[in-house]
Amino acid sequence: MARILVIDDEHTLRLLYQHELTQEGHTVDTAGTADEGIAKVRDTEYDAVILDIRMPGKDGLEALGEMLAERRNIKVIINSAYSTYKDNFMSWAAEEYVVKSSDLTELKQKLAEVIGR
Amino acid sequence: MAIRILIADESPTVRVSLAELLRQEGYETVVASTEDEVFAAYAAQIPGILLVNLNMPGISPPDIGHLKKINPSAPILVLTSDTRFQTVVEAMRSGADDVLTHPSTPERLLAAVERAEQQVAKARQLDEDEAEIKRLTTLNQQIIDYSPVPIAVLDLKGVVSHINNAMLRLLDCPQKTCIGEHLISLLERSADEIDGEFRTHLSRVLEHRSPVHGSALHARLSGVDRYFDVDLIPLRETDDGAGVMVVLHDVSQWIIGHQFLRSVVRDSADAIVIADEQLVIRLWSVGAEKIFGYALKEIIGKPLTLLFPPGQTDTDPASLLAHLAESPSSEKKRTHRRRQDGALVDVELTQFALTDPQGHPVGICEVSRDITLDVAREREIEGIKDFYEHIVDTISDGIRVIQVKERRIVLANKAHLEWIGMSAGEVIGRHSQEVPWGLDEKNRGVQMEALVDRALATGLPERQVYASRPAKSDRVHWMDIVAYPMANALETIEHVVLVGRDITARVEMEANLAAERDRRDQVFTSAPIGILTTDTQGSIQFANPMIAQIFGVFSPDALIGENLFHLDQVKNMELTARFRQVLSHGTPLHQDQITCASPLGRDTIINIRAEPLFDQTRTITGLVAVIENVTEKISLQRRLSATTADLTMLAEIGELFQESRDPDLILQTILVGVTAGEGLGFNRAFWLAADSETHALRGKYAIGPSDAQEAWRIWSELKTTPHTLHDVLSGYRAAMARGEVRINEVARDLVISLEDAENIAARAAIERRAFLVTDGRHHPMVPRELADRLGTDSFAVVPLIFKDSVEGVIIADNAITGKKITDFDLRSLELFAHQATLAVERSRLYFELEHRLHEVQEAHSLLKENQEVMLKNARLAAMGQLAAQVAHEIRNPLVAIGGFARNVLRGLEEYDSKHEFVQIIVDETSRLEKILGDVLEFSRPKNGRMAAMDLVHLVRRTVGMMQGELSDHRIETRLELPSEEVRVRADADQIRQVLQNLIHNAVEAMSADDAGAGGGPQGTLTVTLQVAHGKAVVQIEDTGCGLDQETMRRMFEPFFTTKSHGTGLGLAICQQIVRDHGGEIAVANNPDRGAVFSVVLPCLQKEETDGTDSRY
Repeated sequence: MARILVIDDEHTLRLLYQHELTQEGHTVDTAGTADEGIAKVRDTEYDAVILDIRMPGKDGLEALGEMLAERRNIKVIINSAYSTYKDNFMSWAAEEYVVKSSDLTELKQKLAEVIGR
Repeated sequence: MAIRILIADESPTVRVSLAELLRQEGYETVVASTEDEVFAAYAAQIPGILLVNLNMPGISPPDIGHLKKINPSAPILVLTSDTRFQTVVEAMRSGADDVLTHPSTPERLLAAVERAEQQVAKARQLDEDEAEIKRLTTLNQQIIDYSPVPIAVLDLKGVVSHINNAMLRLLDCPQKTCIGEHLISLLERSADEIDGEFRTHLSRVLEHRSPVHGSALHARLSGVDRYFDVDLIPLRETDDGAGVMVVLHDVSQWIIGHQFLRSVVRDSADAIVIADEQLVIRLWSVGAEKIFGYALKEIIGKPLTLLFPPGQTDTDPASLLAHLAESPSSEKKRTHRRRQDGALVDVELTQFALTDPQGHPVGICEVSRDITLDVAREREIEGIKDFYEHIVDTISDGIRVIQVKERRIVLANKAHLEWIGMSAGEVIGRHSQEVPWGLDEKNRGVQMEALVDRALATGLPERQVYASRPAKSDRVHWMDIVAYPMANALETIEHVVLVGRDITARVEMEANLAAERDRRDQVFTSAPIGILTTDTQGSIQFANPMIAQIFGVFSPDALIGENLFHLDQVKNMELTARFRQVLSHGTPLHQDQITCASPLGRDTIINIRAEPLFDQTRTITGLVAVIENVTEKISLQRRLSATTADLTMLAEIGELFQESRDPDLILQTILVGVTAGEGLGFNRAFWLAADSETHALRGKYAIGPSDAQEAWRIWSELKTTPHTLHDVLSGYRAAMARGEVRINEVARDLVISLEDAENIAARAAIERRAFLVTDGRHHPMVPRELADRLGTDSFAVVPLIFKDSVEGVIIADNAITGKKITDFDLRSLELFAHQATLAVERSRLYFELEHRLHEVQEAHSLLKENQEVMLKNARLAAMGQLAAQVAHEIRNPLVAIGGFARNVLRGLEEYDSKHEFVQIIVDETSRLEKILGDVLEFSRPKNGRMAAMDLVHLVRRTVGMMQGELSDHRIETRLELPSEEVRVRADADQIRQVLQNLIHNAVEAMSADDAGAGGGPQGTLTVTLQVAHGKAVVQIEDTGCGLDQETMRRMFEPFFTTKSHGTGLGLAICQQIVRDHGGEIAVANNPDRGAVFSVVLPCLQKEETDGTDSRY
C-alpha cells in the first residue's frame, strides 16, 4: 500500500522490518547508513521513513535534518532503542517516536497513523 | 876291607883246602863246622860271603833262607853234590846266590867267589849309593819338607807318595791321611771349590809325562780364596817309582790383589779407562759407563779418542804417550770428555802413562771424575759470592775491612770509596792510616785507629760518632762508625770490619725534635689549662703554671719531682687510687666537677682527665693529666640551669593559666612562681593591685614565710617531699582560705598612691619598669612606712601589665635569708613577670584555638561522611551507566529475536506443538525487554520536569489510580491527608511513579500468601501526609510481615531484591527520584507488624513559586 524506507544499521532488524511490513502489504526499501538513506530519499518519494538514531558515522538526527532539506514534507518515524532522544528537539521534527521493541505492534500502529495523515 | 868268607862244611878237609885256596887269593876265611857255628858267626857278623855245603847237617834250604835273612848282603854260595835240578832250584829259592857242585874245580870255585865278591862289592857300593841317596834324599826331604812352597809328590796314578809340611798345612790334614790318597780327592776334601785348569793339566802330565808350568788352580780353602800357579814336574825314575812333583806357587795375594784392582777399576765410580799404546781401550770401569754411557762390551776395543772432545779426536798416540811419560806424575786437570750421546761433560782428568818395568810406555790410564755438580756448585758459590759482593757494594753504609796484622785495607765497598773519593786500586792494600775516613771540620783526616784498637782490645763491636766531610761535599756530616772484630775459625781476630753510617739526617732530626719539644713546653707552660706528666712511679716530671694555680702552689717547680700520689690535694680529692690505676693498667681517669682544695684557700672546681703515656712498644712510660678549672663555668651552668628550671616553671604556670579567667588565681600563681623558682627564689612576694578609682596601689596578698622559723619549716618540708607548683599553689590557696597566711596582713596594709612620683612602687607602675632597691631605709624613693612594713632593706619592684594596662606591682624580697638581690635577680624577676603575662595571654588564645579546632574537626568528619556517600553514589552512577550501555547494546538483538519469533508465532496454529515453544521465546524476550527498560530507567540522567504542585492532590490521585489493584488484593485503604495544599517542587510523573512503586510493594507484602478463596481483608494500607519543619512527609504503611535487618539495610541498593522476579531496581529508582527532588526515602519496621516507608520532600516556601504551576 505504501512505500516505506527503513533506515537501520542492524542488518537483522532491517530484515525483520522488511519482512513484517511487507506482510502488511507495504513496499519496503532499506538503507544501512544515514547517507544511503538520504540518497534514497532524494531519489524516491516515500510515504514514510522509519529511522534509527544511533548509527555509526552520521546519526539519525543529522540524517533527519538532511532528509527534511531534501523533501520538506517527508514523514519520519524515529525508531530508536534509546528513549533519551525523546527530549531532543530535533526529534520533534519527526512525526512519531517509537522505542524499539520486539513487539512491532506500536510501530505498525504509528506507521498506519502517519501514512493516514 | 877284605871280605871274610865263611866256609861251612862238614868235612874238615874240605874246610881246610877251601880255606887255603881262598887265602891264597887273598881272602880272609873263617871256618865253621857246625850249623851253630855258622849261626854264631852270623850273629857276630863275620862273613861277608858264605860258602856252605848242603850236606852239612842242620843246614837245609830253609836255613839258607834264614841266614839270608840275617845278613842279606852276604852272598851265599851253596856247595852240593846233589846235582839234581830240583835241588838247585830249591837252593836258589831259599836264597842262595849261587850253587856249586861239590867237588868243583878251584877255578870254578874261585870264579864263584869272585862273583860273590863282586856281588858284595856291588852290594856295598849299592849300600853306599843307597846311603848317599838316603843322605841326599834326607836332605832333599828336608828341603822339600821345610820348603814354604807346598809340594806333593804323586805317583803315576796321582796318588800322593810324599807331601811336605806346607802342603799339609795347606790341605789342613795330617800326613798319614794324605799319603796314599789321590791329590785331587785331597784337594776336594779340603777345599770348598776347586777351579782352574789344574785337573786337566794333572791328568795330562800323568799321561804324557810332559811338564806343565803355571797351571792355574783356584781353591777356596778354609773359606779363603787361594790362587796357585802350579808346576807339574814329572820325576825321573827312582827306586820308588816314577812320579810327578806338584809344586804350588801361592799367587793368591797377587791374584786377589789383581782381582781387587780389577774390581776397583771395573767397579770404580770414577771413570777409569785403560788403553794400550795404540790407544785402544782395554779396560773400562763401571764408573766410565756411568759417565760416558758406553757399556763395557761396546767400548772395549774402541779408540780412546772416541771420548776426547772435538778438537782432540785425532791425537797421535805415540806423541801423547811420550808427552805423558815425560811429564811429572799424574796431575789433575779440568777438561771435557764426550759422552756416547755426543754431549760434553766436565771432568777432572788424571792421565798417566802405564810403563813396563823397563820404563817403556805400554798404555794410558785415564781417571775421570764427573765434576758437573762440582762445577755447578762452584758456580753457585761464585754466584753467592757475587751476590754478597753486590750487597756490600749496594749498601749505603760505607764498609772498610782492615786486616789486623798490618792494618792494611783489604776491602772497601762502593759507598765508602765514594765517600773518600778514591778508587779501589788506590785504597786496597794501603795502610789504613794513610786512607782517612773523610775530613773533620778542621780539614784533618779522620782516623779510625783508636776505634780499631778499642775493638781489638774488647773483642766486641765498638761504636763512635765522628764528624766527617765526604769528598764531594762541603758540609760536615756525622758518621756513626762501628768496628766489628772478625774472628776466624781458630778464634783469632784477623780482620776488623768498619761500618760507617751517615747519621746527619738523624742528628738534624733530633735537633728539630728538641726544638719541637721546647716549643711544646712553651705551649704547655702558657696553656690556659693545667697539664702535668709523671713517670711510671708517679713522680711529677712536668707541670705548667696553671697546675700550680689550681693546686695552690707558688710555682710549678715546687711540684717537679714530687710524687703525685703523695700530694694532699690529690689525696683530698680521693683520686690517688685511680691515678695509680692509670699507671698500672692504663685505665683512663675521667672525673668532672670535683673540688680541688688549695692550700692558698681558693678552692676550684675542676674537670680532670688523666691518660697513660705509651712508648712505641705500647709500654706505659708515665701519665699525663689535664686539669681544667671550671669553677666559673660551673657557676654559670648552675645559673643557667636555674633559669631553665624557671622557664620550665613558667611553662607549668602557663598550663595552670589555661582555662582560668580567675584573676586571683593568676596572680597567686605568679606569686608562687616568684618565690618557688630555682633561680628566682625570693623569700617573699607581695602583690599590690592598681585601683583605677582610687589611683592607688593596694596590697592584696603576699606569699612567703613570716619569719625564719616558719621559713625553715616550710622549706624543709619542701625538701623532703617533692612538691609540684600545683601542689604549692593549692596548698597556698587552701591556707589562704583558712586565713593561715600571716604575711597577707602585711600586704593588706600596703597602700601607695600612684600619683606619688617619689614612690618607687608608683614609679614602677607608671613607667612600667622594674626597680631594685638595696638600701631601702635610706633610699630617697622609699617612704619610711614601706620600708618598715616590709622590714627589709633590699627588695625588687616589678609592674605586671595585662593587655597593655598595668594591673599592679609585685614587690619581692629576701627578708628571711637576707641574700643579696643582684641585678641579675632583678632582670630575672622582670623577665618572669613579663613571661607570666604572656603566659596568661597565650593560654587564653590557646583555649580559643582549641575550640575552633574542634569545630573544624567536626566539619571535616561531616565532610568525609558526605564524601563517602558521594563516592558511593558515583560508583552506583558508574555502574548504572555501564548497565545502560549494556542494555542498549542488548536491545537491538532482542528486537530482532522477539520480532522474528512473533512473526513465526503468527504463522503457527495453536495446536501446533511448536506454538508453545515459540510462545516461550516471545514471552522471554518480552521479559528481557522489560528488564532493559527498568535498567535504562534507573540510569536515565535526571531530566524530570519539575514544577510547583500540590502533593496532597497527587497522593490522592495516585491512591485512586491504584484502587483497582488494592481491591483485587482485598487491601483496606486508609488515607490521612491534610485539608490544605502542600506545595512542593516536583516532577509529578516521577513522584507518582515512586508512590505507585511503594504502594505496590506494600500490597505484595500483605498478599504474601494469597491462597486464593475469598475471605477477610489481607491487610491495611495506610497513607498519610504530614508537614513538619518545612518538609512534607508521605508515609505508606502496610500490615505485612515486615522486613528483616538485612533487607532494611540493603533494599534501596540497585539490583537487590527479595522477590524471585523483577530487576530489583524499583526501590533504587524511587530513591534516586526522591533524592533528585532534594528529599529522602526512609524505611522502618512498624512495631505492630509491617513496614512503613517515608518519603520526605522539601516544601516550597510560600514565596517560592516559579510561575510554573503543574497541571496537578
